[in-house]
Amino acid sequence: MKRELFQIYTKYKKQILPLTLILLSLFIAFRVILPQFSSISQTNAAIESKRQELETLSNSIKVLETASDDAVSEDLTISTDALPTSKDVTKIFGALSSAASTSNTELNEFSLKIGGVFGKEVSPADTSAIGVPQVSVVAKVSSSDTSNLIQFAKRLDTTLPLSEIKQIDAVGNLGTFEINFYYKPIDLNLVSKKDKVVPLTQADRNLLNQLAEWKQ
Amino acid sequence: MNNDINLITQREQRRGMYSKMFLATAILFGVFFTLALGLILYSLFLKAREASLSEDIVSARTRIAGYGEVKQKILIVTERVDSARNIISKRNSLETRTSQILATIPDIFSINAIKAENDVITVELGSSSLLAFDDLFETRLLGLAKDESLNLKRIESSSFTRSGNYQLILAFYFNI
Repeated sequence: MKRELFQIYTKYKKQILPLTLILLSLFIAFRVILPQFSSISQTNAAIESKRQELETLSNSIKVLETASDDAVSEDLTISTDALPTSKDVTKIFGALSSAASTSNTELNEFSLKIGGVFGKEVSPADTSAIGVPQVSVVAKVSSSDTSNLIQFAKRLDTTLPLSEIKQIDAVGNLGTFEINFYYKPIDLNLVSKKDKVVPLTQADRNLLNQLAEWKQ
Repeated sequence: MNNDINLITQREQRRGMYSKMFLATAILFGVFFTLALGLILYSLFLKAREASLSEDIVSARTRIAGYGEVKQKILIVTERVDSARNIISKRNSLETRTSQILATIPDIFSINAIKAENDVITVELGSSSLLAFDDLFETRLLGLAKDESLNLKRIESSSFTRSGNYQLILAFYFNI
């Protein structure tokens, strides 16, 4: 057996080295070169993604560096007046009273459906079609003139917190209004996880100015 | 001269062939080896670059964390401004539509009742003058129907009665 193997080796010994080199080449091609192409492609994609992330973070730093704390606090006050962080009955009453006094009407009574009082998530029943939570309020308003009742609704539209009239039922000098007042809780956990800070656009600034006017 | 005479032995011919084969395979191996080495080095370079970017990201995050309160305020404002815009643009403007309808009704009419909902506004009005109703139907309501901003679907008169003066109930339907 040994002798036979030796004979085969002697006969083919000159082909063994080229054959080994071919096998090694194939091994390198399939085990090293091809996986490296795949790995390089993945690393390039990861680098591009990280570069974009770094660019976003750098832009966020620029925004934060140039932001004035006072101006941001003022914007925060206006935006939380427009959309309170909770079902704020005082603010709702304030808006109804303000709309009544500027439209020559009298707020006779109002009732609201508070719904959930505490919960980490907003109850689906409280969420409007717009996706922002709401409180349903029924307000009874009186005036000697029916057009003043409509004026009350118009005033409410430009009063903070933001609201939407769902139904008006006016008979004689008494008007019953079904109103949805919007609010938006702050999820600090979610906010603290976010690192992308973009500056307010001109449209955002205009809207904040409009809300500030409505606040007065 | 005899062309069949071959001075190179078969053995030497085979040796030459083996040498060529060895050279070719050695070159092939060399090419593959060099390519593999180049790719490994390039891959290592890319990994180092990725690691450096990761460090930069961590450093940027740390800097942002230093602005914690301002960052939170800006994010809250941005989120609220978006929601406020969404609400304002999607409000049904019930009072504006009602007010537009009331503006087309002449002062000679008394407005007895108004019921406004998302897709229909009903107005109950009265007057002692029949001519006023003619004007309302022939001019005012036609003008209102032409106002495309109102998005009116149809206007229906659900009842017209006389009890003391003339009473009319008009229902304005909207495309929502």
